[in-house]
Amino acid sequence: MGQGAAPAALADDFGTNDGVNTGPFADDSSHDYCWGPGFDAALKDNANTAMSTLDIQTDMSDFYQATCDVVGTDIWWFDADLPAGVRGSYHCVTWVTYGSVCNSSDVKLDPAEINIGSDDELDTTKSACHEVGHSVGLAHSSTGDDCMRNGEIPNTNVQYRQYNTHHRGHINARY
Amino acid sequence: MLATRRWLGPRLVLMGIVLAGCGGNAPGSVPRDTSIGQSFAALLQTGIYIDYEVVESPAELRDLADLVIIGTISDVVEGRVLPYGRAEAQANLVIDVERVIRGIAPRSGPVYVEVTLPSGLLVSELASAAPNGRLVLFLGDRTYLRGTTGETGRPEGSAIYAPFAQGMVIEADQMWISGLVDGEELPPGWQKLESFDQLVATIED
Repeated sequence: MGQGAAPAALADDFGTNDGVNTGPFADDSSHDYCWGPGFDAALKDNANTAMSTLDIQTDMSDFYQATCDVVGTDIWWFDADLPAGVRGSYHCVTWVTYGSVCNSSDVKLDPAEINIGSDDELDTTKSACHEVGHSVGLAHSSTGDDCMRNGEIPNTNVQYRQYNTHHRGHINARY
Repeated sequence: MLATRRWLGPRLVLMGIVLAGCGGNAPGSVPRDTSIGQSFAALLQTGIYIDYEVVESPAELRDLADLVIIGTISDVVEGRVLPYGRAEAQANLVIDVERVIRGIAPRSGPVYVEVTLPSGLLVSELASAAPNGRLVLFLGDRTYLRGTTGETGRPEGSAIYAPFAQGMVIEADQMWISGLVDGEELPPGWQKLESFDQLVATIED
């Protein structure tokens, strides 16, 4: 599934995992996810929305797994108390190829940090979308016009909970 | 020049690390002090990426932090495991404090700073890459958190801190490197500061 995406001007980093806030590649186009032990039920809608966004907007597909698998599930979702100012994190746990292709990762959201400021529910979905983006290789947004921007959303526009054309182009060219 | 070294360096260094199977050296064209800092930053960011609240300047970050210190890394040791996710093993940076900018550091002895240990990386490999120059650390107190392994990696009863996302600044060949996030994406309030000493001057009272 996916929206048409123009793969033009793909000059930023993608999948390089090179210390410039760019995640490694996922292992394939099927992005499986599960709820890690203790994952806050209040965050599941946000995580589901983020996974669906990847499915709907790109050529990748999402698939919920009721049971988490150590290597077979691409994303295990957790809530966490992260360091000050950190709203969400992506962490590759098992590698297909060290440093470049990730097999299974943990994604964590910190509601206490996300809920600073306004539009907390939308901010949560934005952070979930952001970490899913890292899990497929996206870098932070240099234009700041989609969910790969850092921090608080500037307004409630849906674009901040989605991937922009540029990022969709990266994903669709790879998967 | 600064921006190029700050973000291009880690890219080259990480390629070397990956090719060497985790633990490679920096390309010879990069000055030694700079390459060490870049290796360390690249290792810390291997497979770990975050969404963080961007702070506009070092002075603003100083005001948010519980503790701001200038010091050097004397050791890197195994830290505690936090009760989040599958891979929250921490490594503790043991910091010899040269100067306290904000907050209260121990009267004697080091400050313990934990960072998430990337999966597949050994503490000894991180220790080998530790820079020997100065760092500025903008820290939040994390002593209140209970690890699943107690107070591993620090003396009983001592405090443990974690850096803000922008809170690790590594001195490198008189310039500086952002340790935990890409220096290139930092706001102008950071980018305009070309030298380590210049950055320090902006956070001194």
